[in-house]
Amino acid sequence: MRRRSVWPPGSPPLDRRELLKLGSAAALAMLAGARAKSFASAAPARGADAMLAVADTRYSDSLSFAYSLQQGGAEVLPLGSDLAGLWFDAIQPRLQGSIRGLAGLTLASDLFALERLAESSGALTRYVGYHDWRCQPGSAHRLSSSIKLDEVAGALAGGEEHWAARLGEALASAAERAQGREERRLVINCPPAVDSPRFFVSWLMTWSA
Amino acid sequence: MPLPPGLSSIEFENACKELRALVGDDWVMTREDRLASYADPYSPGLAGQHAPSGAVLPASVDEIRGVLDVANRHGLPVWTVSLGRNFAYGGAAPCLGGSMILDLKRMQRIEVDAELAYALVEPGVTYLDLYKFIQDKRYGLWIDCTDPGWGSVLGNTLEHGIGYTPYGDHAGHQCGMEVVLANGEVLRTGLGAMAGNPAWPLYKYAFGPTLDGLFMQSNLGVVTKIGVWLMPAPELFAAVEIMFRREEDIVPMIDTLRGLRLDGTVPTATIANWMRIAAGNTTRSEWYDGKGPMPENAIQRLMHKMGIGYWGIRFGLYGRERVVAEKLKLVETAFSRIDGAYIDVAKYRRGVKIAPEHATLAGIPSVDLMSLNWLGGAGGHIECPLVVPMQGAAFLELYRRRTELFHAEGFDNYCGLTTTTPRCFINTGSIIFDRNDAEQCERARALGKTLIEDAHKRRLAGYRAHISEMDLVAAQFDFNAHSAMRTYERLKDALDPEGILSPGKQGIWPKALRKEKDVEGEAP
Repeated sequence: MRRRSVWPPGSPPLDRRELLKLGSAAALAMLAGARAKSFASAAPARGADAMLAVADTRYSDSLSFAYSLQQGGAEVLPLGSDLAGLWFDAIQPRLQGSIRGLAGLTLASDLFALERLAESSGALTRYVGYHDWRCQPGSAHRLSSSIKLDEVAGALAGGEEHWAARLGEALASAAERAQGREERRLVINCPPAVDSPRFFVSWLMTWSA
Repeated sequence: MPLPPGLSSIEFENACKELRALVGDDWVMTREDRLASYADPYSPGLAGQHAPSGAVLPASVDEIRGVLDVANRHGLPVWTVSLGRNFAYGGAAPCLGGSMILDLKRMQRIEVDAELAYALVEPGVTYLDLYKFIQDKRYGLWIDCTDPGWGSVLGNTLEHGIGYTPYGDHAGHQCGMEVVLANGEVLRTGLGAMAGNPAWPLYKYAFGPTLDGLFMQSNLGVVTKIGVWLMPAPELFAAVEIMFRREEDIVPMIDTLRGLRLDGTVPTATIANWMRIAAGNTTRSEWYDGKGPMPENAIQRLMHKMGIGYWGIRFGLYGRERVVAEKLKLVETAFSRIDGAYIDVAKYRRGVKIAPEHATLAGIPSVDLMSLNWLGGAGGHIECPLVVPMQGAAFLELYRRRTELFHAEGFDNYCGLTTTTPRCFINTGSIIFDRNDAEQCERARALGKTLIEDAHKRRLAGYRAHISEMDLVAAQFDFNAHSAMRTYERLKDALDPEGILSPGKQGIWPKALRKEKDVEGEAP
């Protein structure tokens, strides 16, 4: 029988999620490639110093989003293939300190799992945005939030190829401004990165002090 | 929130007042915002039908007895959950809308006997908890876990859940059970019926009938503790993955595997089709952005670019180094007869860190829901798992039929086969859909029903079902005019005369809510 390294059920040949276990800023920036680097000169996200950002290292839009928060002081954690490990080993211990928010631009299952893992910690998902490029020429965005959405919607509308980074920046600065539940739908044309899965969820969870 | 059937709001409030006095104010919930986690997250369209009236969270056997006393006196139906993480089958949501959730998550005690290799666990213990407990104590034992590992060990075992090591048949490796009956009586099964018998978690049988099975997938009692057997950490663990190129290769694959399963060379094994492999790593839109099922040329392109076969099989080999080496030779010889098969083996000596992609084969729990992103959107899934004999040709015919049914509703066929026992498979037929898309949810539910009905035409049955399909599946067990169900109902009436425990679970309803059923059925 021929022997070779295969792509087995449960893991890709190069599992980019596993590539970065330590999640150093330098490594994240390197993987984010041109997109993240080109955004490095943009204004840093305000108010992100008490935040954690998770990044799916397979997707450069996710990295750009996390990188923009990192510029404002957030600590970035790479998503591994095991979200339980991420929650119990990396996120939960940090909640004992000053961390008050957790944000990401990820696949929907990551938010679903983290919400359930965070359930007993008193986490509140204050913002969710669905970003969809499937079967259409432009992009459709559905935002639902208890924070003010003007800045977030504005960032998407004007972000162009830097939409993910702008979104991260806007979310960090809007996080402090609470208001009643708000929903918004946008049909625009944010170009996805070449490695995009063509569907993302941006989200923000918070914990009260 | 809905009221329990037959109770006025005053009667319900009185029952809740008594429950609060028993377990404390914080542990009786009736406000909508505190009940959100008891909704079925994957079936938003059915939320109204399966909404609970409240939840009560006892912390001990005594508190459970008190809760059941209140429920009996007030006619309050309670739906028991260990943790309610069985999302594909309804999560914590009850069959009967208005039931009160009897949530056992506060009961989290673990005891391990490292010498005899077993654990006693309460309902709130997750696979993650049990794994950590054993690691922290450095016991040199492995657990078997389901995937994802955030569920309850006890809950998964009672539901006949499966894992991926030689201990993957969870109900088969359960031994010893403690149950609170509807009347509050506490029962221990097997050798546990003798107070202080040290072999309670060691030997499944005792003097007289074996009762454990009556409390699995049932509503005849509230299980508060079980024993589970643990596996000694093997000297060597080899993770084996073999790929096969063509759809029709499944016939020799299964027939080869059967021989290796029956003679004990290969333990629990899992087969996945191209979609299951692809969905574990990528999203569909990365390969094809049209509507409807992926066309053949797109599937071929995906397989080529990902370097995967149409089918893959994975299993672990465990034990002494020389034994594993011999088994590996047998495996290679057997599967190399299938043209184009290729193999990958990773070996781990005891104590060596195991790569994440081989974690479940080594009983290391994790939470990875990547495959739910296949279609994009907010992915959910429902499962229609069949028990199928381990015979290649018959399975290929079934697979092709099920592919047609998936395609007719616009879905790709996500197919997995897991053999935790040597003569058959559990054939998971996961329907992955976007739960934010109402039209897609409806198609997914229609497909689920079609798969169940089509299986019945072949006299095949599901071993589990979503809460909304439990009656449908139960009705298919029709031998001798449903004599099995009539027996369950007699037991139900005898053990739970007020019908308070999990009404409708597995199609078993209390007398007052029982529907006239079709008494036609196959005669003996």
